[in-house]
Amino acid sequence: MGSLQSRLGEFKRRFEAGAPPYNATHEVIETMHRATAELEGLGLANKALKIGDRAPQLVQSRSCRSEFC
Amino acid sequence: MELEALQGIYSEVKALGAQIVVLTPELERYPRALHKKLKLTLDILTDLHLKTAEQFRLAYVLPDYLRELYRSFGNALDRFHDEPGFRLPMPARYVIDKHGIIRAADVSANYTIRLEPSDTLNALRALKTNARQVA
Repeated sequence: MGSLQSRLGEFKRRFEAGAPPYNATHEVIETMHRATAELEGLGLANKALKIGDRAPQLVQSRSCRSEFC
Repeated sequence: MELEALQGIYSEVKALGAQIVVLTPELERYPRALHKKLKLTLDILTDLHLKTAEQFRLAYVLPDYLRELYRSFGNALDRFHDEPGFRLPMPARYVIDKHGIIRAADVSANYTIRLEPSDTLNALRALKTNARQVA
């Protein structure tokens, strides 16, 4: 099994080639690229909590722990 | 794919005295099926209404044209998340120490890019080594 990123890259390549079961059209792929580029352009990733910040407590999380699943 | 990759380091993370917690805005019934299918032992918690994602400043609202695309795929985020907002968290992985301080952070606005689990293991090992040196 390769690295996570190489497997994701392979999936992306197949998806963008229009492989089944997704059969993505050129239009769909363009839309997804646009959305990702716009989100990156907003710079939101730089505003998220960083190293040295205090992590918030988990709020209202409900569990799907293995023993219940 | 990331879930399976994280499952792959589950034992090593545990041996280092840490715990993997996966958060998703999806209601329990959705990750539960995946948890079972992939035979995961790591914990998946539902971050209901993205409350925790908001506090980490990871939540964002999908643009209208993307909502339409999701709808055309039959992907009903409003139903999966039990909220009408069509929001998602940016994918992120954090290493948090026992005092609640973030010691490693990886956040990406591009959902196709994820950190390797081995990088997270290295961060945990470094944290453990540092803790030993301080003590």
